[in-house]
Amino acid sequence: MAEAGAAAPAARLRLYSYWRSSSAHRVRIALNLKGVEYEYKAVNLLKGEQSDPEFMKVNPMKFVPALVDGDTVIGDSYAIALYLEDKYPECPLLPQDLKMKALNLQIASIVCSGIQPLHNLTVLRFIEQKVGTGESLPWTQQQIDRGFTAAENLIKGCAGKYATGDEVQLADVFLAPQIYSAVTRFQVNMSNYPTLARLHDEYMKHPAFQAALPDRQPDAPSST
Amino acid sequence: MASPKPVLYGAWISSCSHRIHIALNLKGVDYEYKSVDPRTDPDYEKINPMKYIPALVDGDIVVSDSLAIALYLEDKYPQNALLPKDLKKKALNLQITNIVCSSIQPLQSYAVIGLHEGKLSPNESLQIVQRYTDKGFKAIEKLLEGCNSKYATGDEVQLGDVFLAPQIHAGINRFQIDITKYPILARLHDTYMEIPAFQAALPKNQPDAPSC
Repeated sequence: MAEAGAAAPAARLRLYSYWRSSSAHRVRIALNLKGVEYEYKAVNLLKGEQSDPEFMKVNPMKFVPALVDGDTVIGDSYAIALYLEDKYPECPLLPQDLKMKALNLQIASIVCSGIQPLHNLTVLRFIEQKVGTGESLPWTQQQIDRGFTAAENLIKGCAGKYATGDEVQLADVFLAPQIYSAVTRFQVNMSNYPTLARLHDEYMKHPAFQAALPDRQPDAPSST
Repeated sequence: MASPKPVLYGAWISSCSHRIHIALNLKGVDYEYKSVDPRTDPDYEKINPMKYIPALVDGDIVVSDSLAIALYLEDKYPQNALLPKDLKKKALNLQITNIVCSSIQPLQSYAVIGLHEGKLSPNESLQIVQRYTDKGFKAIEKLLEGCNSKYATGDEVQLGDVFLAPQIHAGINRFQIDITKYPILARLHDTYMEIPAFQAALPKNQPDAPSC
């Protein structure tokens, strides 16, 4: 993750990320799987750095992740993942078969449209404010439960070693951070989703996924 | 023997369904439309475990989620391609698409359902929709700064347009969004309203729309 001291390759990829952001976590996994080196640029969401004018030029939605690749600037993890899939075809994340491809795209959407936006930082702050302190946890668990129940049903018949077969695919890239945050931050009981629970164990053993974990990022607070 | 027509499950008022009507129309795909209420139709869960609409059944393939459906259609029916080959433009389309389908519409949906279930007052519900719509529209307007092409990312209709059109339409018609704050989006809206594929996809033109 450290910057190269000697002459760096021209225009290295830059990823704007926050250690704990599950959206950024997805892109870190994808980059690692594809063996793409990148510069890590931390954006401290708790300190409000996403509202810095410089960052807003990169992503006017004020979200991480954002990717800069030469003169291409992309916000949103789904857009970034599909860009990486085109630009760096090694370790393809989408199968050719249309049915399995659609399944992967659907699972990715369940996570990034159906679960995570309903419990990101800004929404949680709103829930705490509007509904009451301590309400954000049950709220988050509800959103996760709905999405995990659907994902579990979708992959029950076709999961292999990974979500949709024996190779890591896009569904895994999106599921892994959501399951990780469910388990480590939101006290979700994974016994209701046995396939997802098993996948979590597989992801935790995979080097590309390990290197992408929040605690391993340069801006993670050092452990006490 | 001709293969069966794809079937789109949706509802007239759903902006997610609206997107797929547009995509199917643009690609000239002849399809069957079935209106469904996921809250009350017990069989629908078998088609889409998330119980969201839309879902597309195309032969033995069942796809739900509008983005997954749109990308499936892009592969299966490559005529009138919705994604450019240029990676930068493609990424911009996908980013606009995802701002709509991850950052605006799910919060709109939460606010609308909250109102129906009595958890939010009409005013609170409207404020939530407007807050997230304005945030998303402001960002998209910024991303499209300097855009002088006919559509969002060029002179052909692309995926960004397919997802933008229903969101702008709902914003103006249901949620009192002042679209004049977003001149590029306002111009695009006027342009979309003249395209037959978009007109046919409008909520009021669906068979299950209330007549009044």
